[in-house]
Amino acid sequence: MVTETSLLVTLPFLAALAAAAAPRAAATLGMAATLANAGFAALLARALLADGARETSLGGWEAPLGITLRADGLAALMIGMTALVGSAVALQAMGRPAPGRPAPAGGFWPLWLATLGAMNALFLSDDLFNLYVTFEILGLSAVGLTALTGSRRALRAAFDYLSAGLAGSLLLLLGVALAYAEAGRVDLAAVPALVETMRGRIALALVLAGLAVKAALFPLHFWMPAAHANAAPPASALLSALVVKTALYVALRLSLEGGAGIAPARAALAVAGSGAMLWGAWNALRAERLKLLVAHSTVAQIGLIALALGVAGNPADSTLWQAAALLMLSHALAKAAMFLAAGRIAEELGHDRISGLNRTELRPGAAEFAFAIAAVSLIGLPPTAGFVGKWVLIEGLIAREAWIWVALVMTGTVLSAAYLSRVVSRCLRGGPHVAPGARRPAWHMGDVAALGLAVGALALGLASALPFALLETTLT
Amino acid sequence: MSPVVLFDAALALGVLGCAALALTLRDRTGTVAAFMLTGLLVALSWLRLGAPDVALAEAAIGAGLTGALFLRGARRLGPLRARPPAPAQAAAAALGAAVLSAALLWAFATAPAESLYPPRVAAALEDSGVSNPVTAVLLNFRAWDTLLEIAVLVVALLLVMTLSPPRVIPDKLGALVQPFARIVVPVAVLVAGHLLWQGAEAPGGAFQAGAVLAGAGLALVLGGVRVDRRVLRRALTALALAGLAVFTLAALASQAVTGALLGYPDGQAKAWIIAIEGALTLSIAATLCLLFTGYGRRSAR
Amino acid sequence: MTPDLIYPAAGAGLIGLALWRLATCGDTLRRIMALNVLAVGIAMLMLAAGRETLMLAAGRETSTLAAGRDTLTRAAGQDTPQTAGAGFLQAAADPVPQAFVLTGIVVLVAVTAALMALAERLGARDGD
Repeated sequence: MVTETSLLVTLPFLAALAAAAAPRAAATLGMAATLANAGFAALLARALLADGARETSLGGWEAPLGITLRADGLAALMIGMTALVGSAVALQAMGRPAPGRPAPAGGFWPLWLATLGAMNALFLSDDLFNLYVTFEILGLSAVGLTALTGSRRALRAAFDYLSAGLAGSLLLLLGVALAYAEAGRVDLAAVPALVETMRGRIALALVLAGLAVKAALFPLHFWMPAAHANAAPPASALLSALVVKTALYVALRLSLEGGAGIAPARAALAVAGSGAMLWGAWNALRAERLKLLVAHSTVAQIGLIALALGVAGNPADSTLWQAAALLMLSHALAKAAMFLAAGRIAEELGHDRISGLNRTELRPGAAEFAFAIAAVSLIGLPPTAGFVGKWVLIEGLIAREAWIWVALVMTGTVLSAAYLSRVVSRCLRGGPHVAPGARRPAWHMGDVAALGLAVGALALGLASALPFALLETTLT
Repeated sequence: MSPVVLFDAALALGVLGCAALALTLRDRTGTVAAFMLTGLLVALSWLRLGAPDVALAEAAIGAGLTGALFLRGARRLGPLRARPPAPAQAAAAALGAAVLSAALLWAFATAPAESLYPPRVAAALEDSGVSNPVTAVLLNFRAWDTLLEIAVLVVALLLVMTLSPPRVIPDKLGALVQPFARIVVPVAVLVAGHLLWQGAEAPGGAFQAGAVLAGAGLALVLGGVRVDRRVLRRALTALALAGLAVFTLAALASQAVTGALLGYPDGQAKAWIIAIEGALTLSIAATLCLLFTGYGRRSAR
Repeated sequence: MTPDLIYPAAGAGLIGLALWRLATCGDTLRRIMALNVLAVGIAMLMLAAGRETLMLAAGRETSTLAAGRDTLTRAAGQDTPQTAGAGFLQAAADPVPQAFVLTGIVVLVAVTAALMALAERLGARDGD
């Protein structure tokens, strides 16, 4: 019998092929496949909550020789996050006529569906080499999404993205090669043995370095702001909300498998994360364009998640890693909402200069509202999902009296409030600032998607019991 | 020192020397020539490392097709304009790279290298449907990697489609290449068929066969067969996409039959593998051809 | 230098060379080539480790590894398993890293084609 796990990793690829073969029907096919994927993701989560985590040996061959798909709560949560954000972004892309002439067979839909398939495969994978291959699909399709607009800046950013991504993949592959030489196997069950020896720790450090490039973790984030700021809004939303999360997910997975035993790696993650929070915030404070501000805010937020991963410590005696997972989820929803809203604001205004957001002839619309709610979640005010994630993190840090990290998280929070208020204060003004005859922007599919995601980030804070219950579903 | 060790040492030095030339020569054509020579020497070292399947693929894809791509790029990008780096920067980078190399050498030379795979492969080989262990790994034990690898090819093609770079327009090469193509294409088709068929028992398989076919296709393109005719391009695109479709549908079908994704029914593994490999060969050949020729509507000049 | 060290040394050397070039040159084509050399270096380390596995097995004929090696060598079309270095064509190495490297080669040509297409689009605009 064909299971939902198999459909999650095969259906998107089949749909991508169909969309590439029939460009005219691509949007319909793409939307249908995205929704079907969301359905399977929900079914998987329900099945896991009912029966616990499950493993499938592909082809019936057991690891380490074969490859195992492992569906546990963490994987299901990430798959659900991808499905949710993907559906909203697809909705926005549906309502948006493709700019310029339609590409012969490429274009948004096949690339997005391939991204979706690769992400699902990555979340379920239990094998380092298999992860490398999924990263390569993801790298190429993400670069395709970046380059879609065809502008010179986007192409330049795409080239830098792809070469940085390839360098990251090759570092990861070098780590896999050393893991093979050291442990004689490359499935994730090799991690505990790798932690024991110096060579094994070097192998894991190489893998981690590759992941840091892919996650755009400071100081290896150089390729990212340009790529995320110059892509079309739906593509930026997918890249910033989802694609960078994959590398953080793998880092979390390695840490849960026993990689957390390497103290220097944990410290490096935490320090790089702190640096990212400060550096990203500083650049977001100085950014002149809205999309660039949002992209730099991603650098900072990635930093926060990396910090959470770094300080989480051994998963055996702490549940702090769950804070990192929840922060990933809340950032995905809020950041996708923010990029979609920023795209809509730029569409209405005809530019995205932050200094020009103070216009009197246009009333704030749904997009501005969505941006504000997403900002509230990113800053981490109650009752949003961002608040719950940060609360769990800070509570854990206070309990172990790690005051330096508490102070850093607090500083990051204040800075994010500062740079986001640059936009929010200009967006949401009324009364004397609005001219009497000011028009309201017309409703648009993009507004619905952005607002839906922002409200999702808000509601998730109230219903955060569900993700936590899911995260408890592990293989024992 | 035995002659074999001398040969290995000379080969390794040759690889390093050619790679150094490829990365330092200022003349574009020279760097590409050095790169292709590196690829061929590397293929020879794969033979010495007991990996003839990889050697075939390296020669056809790593040296041949990648080299052709670099030649195309060298012609379109024009001469090298970047200035050499400042000596201090170059020295610092060299020092860092040397330290890293030394650390890697230490790590790999002292690693225990006790693989868990050979006994498991040996034990399962009988049930895999093929007797070439590499083919068994690629299309049975770890077929999921291979399926995703085909997806990488497809996504690269989608990216190239989206970018629509200028098409390769064969010009003066035509007269030169045509007689060559007349001989090489039929031979390549035969070789590809042979590689595909013998891949079950001996070195070879879908990737090597697909690469050889793609080489034949490129000979046709350079010999003046116009790939810009829309019908041909569409047919090739359909073929390129079909490989992943067949593989994915076969994976789902096998699950419907046996309950395991990519689990072939007992006793029929060979038939499934040959069918999948056949589709992959054509699809890989079409994809590699299209990755080289591109999709654009504008001409190169 | 013992023979077991020759190929790991060459692999490590290729990686160092490629990283040095990546750090010192901004030319697009040259960077793409350096990434290709980097991948070859990694492949060489991986295959060298894969061969060593079976050479170790040759020294301990009783182990399960040795049984595996014999089966694999026969399967690879050689009648008698050879110990490493006995002839020009080596006994078959561990097939799994071979499959990894083969996959890596195909993935790399795909990414190289994509990078080249991007570089050419950028370069073509430069000329305008």
